[in-house]
Amino acid sequence: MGRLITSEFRKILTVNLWWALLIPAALFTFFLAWFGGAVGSVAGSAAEFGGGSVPVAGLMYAAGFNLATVFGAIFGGLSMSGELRHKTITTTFLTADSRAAVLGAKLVSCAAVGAFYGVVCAITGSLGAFVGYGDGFPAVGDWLLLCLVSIALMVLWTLLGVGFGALLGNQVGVVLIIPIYTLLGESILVSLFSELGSSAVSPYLPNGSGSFALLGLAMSQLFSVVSAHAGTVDLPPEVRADLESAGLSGQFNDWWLSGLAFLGWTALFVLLGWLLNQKRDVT
Amino acid sequence: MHDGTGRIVVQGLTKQFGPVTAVQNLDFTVEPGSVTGFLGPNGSGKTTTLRMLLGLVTPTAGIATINGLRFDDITNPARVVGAVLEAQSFHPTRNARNHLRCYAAAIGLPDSAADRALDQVGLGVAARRGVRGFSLGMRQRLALATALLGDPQVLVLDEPANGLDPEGIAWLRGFMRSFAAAGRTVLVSSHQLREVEQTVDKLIIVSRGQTVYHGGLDDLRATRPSRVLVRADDAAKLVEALRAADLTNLETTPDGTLAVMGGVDPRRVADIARDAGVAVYGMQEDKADLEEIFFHLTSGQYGGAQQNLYTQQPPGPGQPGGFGSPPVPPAGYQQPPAGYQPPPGYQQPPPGYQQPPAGYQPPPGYQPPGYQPPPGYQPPPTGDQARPDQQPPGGDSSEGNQGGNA
Repeated sequence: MGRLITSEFRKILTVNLWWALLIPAALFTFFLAWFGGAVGSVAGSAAEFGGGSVPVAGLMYAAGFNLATVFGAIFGGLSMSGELRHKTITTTFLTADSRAAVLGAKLVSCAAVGAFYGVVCAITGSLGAFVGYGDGFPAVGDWLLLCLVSIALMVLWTLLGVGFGALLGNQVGVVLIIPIYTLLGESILVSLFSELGSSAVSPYLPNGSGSFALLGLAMSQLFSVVSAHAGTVDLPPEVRADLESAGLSGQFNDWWLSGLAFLGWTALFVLLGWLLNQKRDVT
Repeated sequence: MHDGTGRIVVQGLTKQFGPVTAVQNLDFTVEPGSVTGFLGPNGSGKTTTLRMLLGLVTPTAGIATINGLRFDDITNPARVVGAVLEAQSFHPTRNARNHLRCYAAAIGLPDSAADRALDQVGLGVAARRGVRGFSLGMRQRLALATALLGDPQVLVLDEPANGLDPEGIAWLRGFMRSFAAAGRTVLVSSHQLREVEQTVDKLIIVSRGQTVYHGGLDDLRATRPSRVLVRADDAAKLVEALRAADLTNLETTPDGTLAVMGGVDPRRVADIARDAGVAVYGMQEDKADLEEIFFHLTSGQYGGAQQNLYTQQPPGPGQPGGFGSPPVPPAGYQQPPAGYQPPPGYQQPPPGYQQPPAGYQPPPGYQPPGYQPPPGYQPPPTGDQARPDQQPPGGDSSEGNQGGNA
């Protein structure tokens, strides 16, 4: 297994893909954390109630980082599908003890790359948030927790990608489906669920659980300050309305439940990819 | 652990891709110390068989083992078996050296193994170039270098000569020979027998997913002994002399050429003719062409009638009894209907045609063949069957083969 992990790291480092995907991920995090995104209005109404020193930076950071995770997922997704595309999988299987060992080594090496992506994006995201909302930072401990959770999420997204790529086995499919689903497909799914009267599932869908785990944490940090300032336990109704119009659940204290759901999705995709990888005929 | 013999055993191997049976109940053994050719036309199931052997494709039924183990059960398999399956399994932007280093790490070898493998196949100068810029021949060499990384005991090559220049092919032949001479196993597939004829000791021929021949190259050749074609001024006299010398297996081709069957040395025929005082105008040894035998064995693949090589073909006009005419006649030749029956009045055997009975009696004065074309047989344009240089088109098939073998 150790031999195969070395081999996988060499495969990653001898091709430009790892930095070609890291650069846009880092830049997206920086600029989105700087300018805010869909959550900008939430931050505005929160500031209105929370006074001048509301830590909105965390929310901006979370919004930026959530977009960067797409790049981690694509990187992971190409790990297996790229080998199938270039037929290097033949040699990879011929030089490995088992197919399971190959996928295991890919999960380990991609987790490491995902962690690296996470650290880089945490740094650029923090910088972007500092440039945009330098006076709105929470306590250092809160910020570190936010960074840690975001790095863990990037690792999980990369692993989910590995599983998805092994399941799909098609490079083009991975590059198209992952961004289209996360940026568009799931919001269609959410509105479909809303029509059926079950909008509460949104924070537990694959993309929703992954992004709400981070956004929810940032919001709970933010609104604990706001609530303390306003002297109430509940959210002001105006803020709640803003949250819902931004497509966010008011149940931000359940962010860790979303995190668990996302862990489940990752495990599911890895398991499915694993099963197919064991059976796939390499022709 | 594996038994270390280097033996490949395939038993009852079958692969079904949906409705298509790619490989059907295949059995063969490949022994170490020899180069074994795995032959068959395109689409006969060669690649699928090799991929099942290497654990890349799951068989529908049957088992394939190397060293007594299924591929999946071999630990660090690259140490046991190296394979060249296609010349395309490279990442286009990864350079040759890095490609090999990736797999050297997987096998647990130092980086120096990558450089050694590159030098072994003569790619040392291209080590730092991306595979994108490689020619097909260079890719084949890099694929071979990858297969050799683990210093394996068994080498499996799928059409390795594709894209190689003549020098590369010669080098590959020498390499396979020396690899086998060291007591290791080589299994090499090809769709052209000529390509591997000089290299292989044993042959497995497959057609439509089934084995049609499994044995030595010489045994295959022996199934079709050569014949000597003689044109003499007095064929009758020569026939008598040959019979006196115990050469009784004689035939006459439609153009009047005498064929001495059974792998006789042409010098012996010449000596007999000289002793008998018969003038010989021309003599030719017609060896059974392996490629032709291969073609016959596998010709049924695409819907043609399966022809049995080992029995004589039914006598058709212009087809000398069962010897080496390809199943596809030249254009212009009217193929007799499938159930060809000699027309009424067709003498069996007609004088000067067909396999003569043991007591061959030449017709009086031995005229050029008295063969009368059956109705429906298009007479050749020249019409003069006695002139050997102007044969009917149907006779060209055998002549063409002779030319090919000369």
